[in-house]
This record gives sequence, structure tokens and C-alpha cells, in this order.
Amino acid sequence: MQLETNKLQNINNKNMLSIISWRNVWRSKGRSFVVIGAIVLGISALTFAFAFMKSFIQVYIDNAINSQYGHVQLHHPKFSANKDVEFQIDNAEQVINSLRQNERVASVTSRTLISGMANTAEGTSGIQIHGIVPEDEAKVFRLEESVVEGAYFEEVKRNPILIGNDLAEKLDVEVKSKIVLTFTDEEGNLTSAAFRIAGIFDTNSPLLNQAGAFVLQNDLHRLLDSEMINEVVVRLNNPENLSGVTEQLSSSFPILEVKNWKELAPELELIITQTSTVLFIIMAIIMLAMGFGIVNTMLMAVLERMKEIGVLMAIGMNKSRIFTMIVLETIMLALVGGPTGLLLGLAIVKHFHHYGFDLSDYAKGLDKFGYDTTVYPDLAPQYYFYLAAGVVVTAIIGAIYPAIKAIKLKPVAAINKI
Amino acid sequence: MSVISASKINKVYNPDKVPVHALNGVDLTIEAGEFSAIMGPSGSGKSTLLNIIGGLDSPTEGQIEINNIDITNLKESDLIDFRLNNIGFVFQSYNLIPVLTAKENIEFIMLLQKVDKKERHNRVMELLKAVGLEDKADVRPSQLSGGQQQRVAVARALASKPKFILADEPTANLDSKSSANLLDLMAEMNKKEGVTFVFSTHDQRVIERARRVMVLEDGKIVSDENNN
Repeated sequence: MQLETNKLQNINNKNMLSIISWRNVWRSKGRSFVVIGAIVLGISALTFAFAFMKSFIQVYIDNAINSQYGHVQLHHPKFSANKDVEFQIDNAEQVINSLRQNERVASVTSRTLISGMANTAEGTSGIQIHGIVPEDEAKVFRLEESVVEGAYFEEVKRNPILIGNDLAEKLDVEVKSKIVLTFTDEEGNLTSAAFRIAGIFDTNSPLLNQAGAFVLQNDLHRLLDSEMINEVVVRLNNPENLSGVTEQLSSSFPILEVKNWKELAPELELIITQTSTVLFIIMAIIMLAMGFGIVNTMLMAVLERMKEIGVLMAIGMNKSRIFTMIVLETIMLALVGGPTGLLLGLAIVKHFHHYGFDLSDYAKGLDKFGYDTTVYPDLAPQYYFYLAAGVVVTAIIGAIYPAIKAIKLKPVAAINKI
Repeated sequence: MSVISASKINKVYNPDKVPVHALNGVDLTIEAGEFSAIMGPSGSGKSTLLNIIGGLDSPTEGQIEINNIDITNLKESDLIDFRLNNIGFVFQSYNLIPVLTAKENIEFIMLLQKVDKKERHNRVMELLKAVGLEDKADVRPSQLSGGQQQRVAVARALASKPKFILADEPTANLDSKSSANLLDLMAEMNKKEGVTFVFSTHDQRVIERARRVMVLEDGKIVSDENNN
């Protein structure tokens, strides 16, 4: 009972401190609004910066996964080094079937990869020929969606081929044009065959657009007189399981080289790390500026109220309560500014998520590097929490110095201040 | 029974540079229920003596006992608690908390003492009635006159049920009517509730009402007379 009474009294005490702190915040409305405004602007700008950068990079990575890498690739251990046609996946059919039975794997596609030359009356260009099974390929990659002219292996019955728009431009060809591919088979014999363009694609991969050609795997096998498969690409049900699945597949297929997109394209991982670092630095700068703003405001509030704080000490308010009062005032400033900033940030993010943020006027040629020129920013809920926590922590840290200044006051000296 | 016992109090400011002797061996005893004034010209050491008695400042030498407790050796945190539970203060410039209403200003000190809600409420209403400001309970200090603010300050000082109240020139900023009302109020509290008051003043009206008058000059008590 006594304990409950004490608890109730403590709550009352805290309530009174909260009331004093809250009213103190609004004693100098102009000054408080300046700090709150700075917090609102800082947090909303940070929210948008996080959402924009995260989405910008995520789309770039998704594009790379969807057009070039898939989630996990399996090769002959020596294939990655020199892409030689002789390094094939033995028992490819068995490997593919086994992968399809793995519950963590969403889809599988196999590829026959050969380097060769594309010749037309207008020119010649080195290309990477991908022999694919269109239905399987469409479940792993987004090539079908990238076709901008013609169709995805339709309307051309014999030897259809898809090529990139840059290559089409270079060779001066269009849909239904004939193109001759020349390549060497496993035994080093030169083979040539005529293909007809079924479609022209425009992916986010400049490399594919300039030197990528996709033909039916059966056509390539027939020309090579071999059922060879050099590459098996896997798409996962849950991309979060990337490392786990990579490890699992490595042990399931010890004679193959199993690499996920992070290992295949370490530059993408680097971009993620660099973006996170840049965002962290931006956050640190904004929080630091906010922190100094808070220190300045609270220091002024303390210096202005030295006499009052002296009186509070004289009549019996102990130092921990004085300290708490100053920290509470600061937290209250942050609690008004922080959520307002987050809501404003959320509104800006939602607006651009819906309408898109068009960069084409500011960054011409961005698409040539695999980036989208329209960004649809979005931010996972936990980031709002991190930012809110960041504001409160900054406010508390910003309050410490003014609060220490307050508790160091001597009552007599403080009361006699004019 | 003495509530305050000060012996051989010396206070020197700037001892290492240009020493200023504010108090020179002051001996003083205040009995419970006294209504005493310490008078003297500006710079005589009145406020310094009051601050030292109230535990707001420490003497360079000497000893202060409040209810037989030596406060000169108390830690700062203990001294704050000691002041809260034993000493009431009335300042020349009222010094109410501007963001709190009259009622809250009085209640605040009891909150610090962790007095329960019902008792707090009763005492606040009782004190507001005693100082004649029941109708100003929810008014902030800025909306009160100087005299009204000083009455709230007296009520605040009384709220914690202190052993004594130290009033540093309480009428200095008041007109004659407000001064008279305030002195009537404090005299009544002294008479009815037996509250001990010690004033520092050079206001003749206060001196006339005090039952004991001590005269301080150059940091020494040069006269100590009963006014009965």
C-alpha cells in the first residue's frame, strides 16, 4: 500500500515536472518554433533522402538481377575465367531437375553461351550469344518485358533472334532483318548461320543492349551438334535467403561453381555499402546540425532562467530534478518536431512514390549506366523508427550540456542575477 | 527552544585577491516563534547572513545549527533536502515560477516533499484562503500585482511547514498598503500558527512590527533589542 502511494506520488512529481517543462517550451514561442522548424525540415529531408537513395539503388540492383545475373548462377568451375565453350555443366538436366525440386528456388533457366560475331551488310560486331529456353528464361529474367520492337520469339519461325537496340542501331537492322552469326564449336570449327530478328530489346544493362543476342537453345544445339549447357540461373522465392541458398547449392553441387549476384557483381554490393555510408554521413551531418541548434536554444533558455533555476534550487528542487526538467524540455521540442518531420517526410515520399521523381531533365544518359530515370521512392517502416530514435537521442545528447550548466549554478549567485 | 544557532560566523569574499569581510564573527540565536528583523544599511551583511542561515551560502568560518543539526558540513544534495523540509524563503522580488499558477506555485513545494494529493489540495486551499487569494488560484504570477505575488510567495514558503521562514527584504518592492497587508498576514501566521519569521530589512514599517530587532553594521551585530 505504502509502495503504491509512493508510486502515485512519484507519478505526480513527474507530471508536475512535465507540466513545467511543457510550459517552459512555449515561453519563447518564436525560439521554440525555429528549433522545431529545423527539426521538421531536417527529418523530412532525411526521410526523403533515405527513401530516394534506397529506391534509386534498389531499382538499379533489381535491374541488374532481372536482366543480367538472376539470384544464383551455376557454372563449370573454369567457365567464369575464360568463358570457353568447352567448360560445360555435366549432367545439366539432372542439375536443373534437382534445383526445381528445391523449395527455396522459384524458377530455373539454362543457357548455352557462346562468343561470336554478328554480321550484316552494314557492319560486324562482337556479341555474346545466349541460347535460351524462352519460357524458362521469362521466369528468371525480365527480357520479355524489355522487348521494345517486334515480339519475344514470336512471328519468326526459323532461327529467331533477339538483339539489343544499340546493337540493332550499330548493325543498322530492324525487326525481320536477317543477321548472320559466326562462332566456333567445341572442336574449334567455325560455324555460321542466318537468323532473323524477332525482337529488339532495351534493357537497363548497356552491355546487353550493345552485345547481347538471344536465340533458341534448340537452334544453337542443332548448329553446335551438342546439347551443351554452360550456365544455369536460379531465381529464389525469398531473396533474403541468398547466402543460405548459395551455401546449400554449393554443397549440393560440389563440382560446380555456385555464385550469387553479390559474388558475381561485387560492384553492386559496393554500391549498396557506399550508399549506406553516404546516407549515414548525411544523417550524421543533419543530426549534428540539429544537435547544435538544440544546444544553442537550450543554453539560451537556461541562461535566461538562471534566477528561476536558482530559486528552484533554493526552495528544495534537487539537481536530478533540474537536470530532468531541462532534458524533458528538449525531448518535448524533439517530440513536436520529430513526428511532424516524419509525417511531412512520409507525405513527400508517398507523393513521389505515386507520381515518380523524374530525373531525366537533370541527369541525361543515366539510363545508359543501368539506372532508371524515374525513381519511385519508398522507405521501409523501420527507417522511420530509426530516424525517430535518432532525433530523440540527438535531443537528449543536445540537452546534456545545458542541463549540466543548469545544475552547476549556485543558488545565491543565480538568484542575484538580474 | 532555539531553531537557529549561529556562532562565530565569518564570511570573506575573494579571500585570495581583494578580501571583502561581509560577516565578522556573528553570533546569533533565534528561538521558535520569534518574529525578528535584522536591519542595517546596504552592504552591512544582512542578505549574506540570511543566505548563510538558510543554507544557500556557506560561511568561511563558524557553525550554523538548525534544530541542533549542523548544516555547515552537509553535502550539497543533503542541504537541498534540508532546505526543502526545514526552511521557507520569501524573496524581495517574489521569485514565483512564472509558468505555474498561484495554486501550482504553492503546491509545487509539497510535490517535491512527496505530500499526497489530498493533503496537498487541502493545504493549498487553506493557504490561499489565509493569504486572501482564493479567487486567484488559477492565475499566473504575471497577472498578479506585486503585493499579491508576495502573498503567494509567503503561502509557498508556508506550504512545506518549515521550521522557520527567512524573508529577505520582503516589502522592498511593495507600496505601503501592500506592505502593511503582507506584514499583517505574516504577523497573523506567526501568532496563530507559531511560524518563526526572520526578516532582513531596512523598511521602518517592518522594524516597527518586529518583536526583536538586530542591527548589523560592517558584518557585526551591534545591537539586539526586544521591541515589546
